[in-house]
Amino acid sequence: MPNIKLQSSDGEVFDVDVDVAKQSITIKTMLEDLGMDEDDDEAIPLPNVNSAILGKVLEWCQFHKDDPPPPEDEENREKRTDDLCGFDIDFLKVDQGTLFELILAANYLDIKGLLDASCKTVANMIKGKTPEEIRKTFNIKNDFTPAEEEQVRKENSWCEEK
Amino acid sequence: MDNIANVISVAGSEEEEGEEDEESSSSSPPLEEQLSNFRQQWKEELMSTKDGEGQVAHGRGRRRRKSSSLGENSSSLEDKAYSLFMQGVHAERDGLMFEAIKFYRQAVQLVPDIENKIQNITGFEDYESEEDSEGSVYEGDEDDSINQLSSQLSEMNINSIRVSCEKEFPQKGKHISALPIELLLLVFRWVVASHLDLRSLEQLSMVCRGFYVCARDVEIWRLVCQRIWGRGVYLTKDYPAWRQMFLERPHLRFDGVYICRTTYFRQGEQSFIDQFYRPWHMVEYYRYIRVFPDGVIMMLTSPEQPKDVVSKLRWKSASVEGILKGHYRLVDNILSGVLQREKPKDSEGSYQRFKRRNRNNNVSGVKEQTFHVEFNLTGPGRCNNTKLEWLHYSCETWYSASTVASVSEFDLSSFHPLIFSRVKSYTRAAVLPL
Repeated sequence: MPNIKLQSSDGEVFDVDVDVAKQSITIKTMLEDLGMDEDDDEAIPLPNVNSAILGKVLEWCQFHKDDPPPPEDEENREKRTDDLCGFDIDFLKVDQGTLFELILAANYLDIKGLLDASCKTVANMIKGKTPEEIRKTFNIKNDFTPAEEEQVRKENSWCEEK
Repeated sequence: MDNIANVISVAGSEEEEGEEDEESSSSSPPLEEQLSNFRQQWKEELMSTKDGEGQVAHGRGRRRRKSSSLGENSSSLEDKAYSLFMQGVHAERDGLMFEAIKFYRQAVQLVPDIENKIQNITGFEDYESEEDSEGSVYEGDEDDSINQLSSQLSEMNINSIRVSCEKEFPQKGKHISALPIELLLLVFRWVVASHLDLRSLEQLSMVCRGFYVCARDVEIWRLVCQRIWGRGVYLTKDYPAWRQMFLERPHLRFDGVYICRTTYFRQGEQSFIDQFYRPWHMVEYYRYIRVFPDGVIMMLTSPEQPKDVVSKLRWKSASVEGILKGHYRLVDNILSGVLQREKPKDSEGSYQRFKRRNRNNNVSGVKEQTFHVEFNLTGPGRCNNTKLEWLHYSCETWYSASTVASVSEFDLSSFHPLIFSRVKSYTRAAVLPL
């Protein structure tokens, strides 16, 4: 398999299999549009991704390189027990900072599977929590005035616990 | 206010012509004369305009207005442009965008860089930073500011916020505010997910101002309404906003199960030995109905307690003995559904298959049974959509020996309404995004 070189924002060069790298639509389009030779020695610069995150992203791509395209309908998805496979669950057991960086990188590199998995992980951290718990979880400052907070609470009164 | 606007707009357009004249008329003396006449006239007009404004006396912008230097042409121009610009600001704040644009345009025609000048002269802050500081304004008088507050909150929009939230404490790694708004909205759509967990979305709106704006995003609520009422749904006079439609228009709830418990007494067989012993059995059973956004309905009658059953009804693929599955439609608040018993699967154990075959034999060659149900969706007061009242329940049976279906209708007098109860586990984890 031919390899290509990817250069992270801090200058580290990763030598990866083309098929692994092509899970990133951004890289795939780059290769196709620019018609880069496969034996080209020049590294593709990825100025938005640092080496730590790029390493993780490529690890994910390596594992998922033989994945069949995901079934589109919900019925089939829900049958796959909890959807996220064991690898993804372990892979995404990282600190919040890394998780957000993975979302940013997956978005920039346009890797849908990774973007979905990481967004879902953050979403599941949010679901079922109270506003105060969410603030605590993500270290968010409450910048509502008391009057505003009361107003929002009123707007949301339909979903208060009985 | 309208009068003033008219006067000013007239004055503004005349002034515009005047300026053009000035440019093109350097060589023709009569025009010069005309121009000076016009100036005279315009000054008078301007004076009267100012008086009018004095009477109305509103707006924080205008009170800062400099009333001196009327005589000098350039600064009076500026003054007037300032006044127009501020009117534009007020109109924009009131949501009158077209009016606002008219004022801004007039102001810019008078003084092209009026915006910069205003910022320099008066320290007039731009819209967004004003919003940041407005909190302190409202803290004082809460009572009469509620209306203002709600309009203020609804005025905040995606474009008016730079960051979604701020850190409470310093932290080393990337903070959630590092996500651009569109990615945060993507996460929010995962929070709502295909099972429409709007409760969690509403919790998010109470976290901070930036989250409030994102959680009220029109696009998210539009998608929610589309999931519930189909792609053809559109805003109407009764429901001018998507979130309002969700809150006010009757719809089924997907984050739990509609349940009713039924008990009745049945006379038991008399014993031969003791003639005085007449046993009665109390029969207790539950009826469960679960619906999904895509039109799938499941109904189950079971003697098992809710706590044992609800977890089995989580997925559409639920396979529980005796479950009926089908499709429903909701028109206004009338729910009608057609259900059938699940076909036994080959994967089931041979014992069960044997049992089923036996039972089928008992009911003498029933080929197919279709159940038709109809409910009225109501609910007491605030917690709408929580009660299903029976309107119709019938069973259509096709026998293998006959080509005609026999329809039997159930007597609904003993059927209690089903009451909704939320099941937290249904919305705990997202499967697909909204």
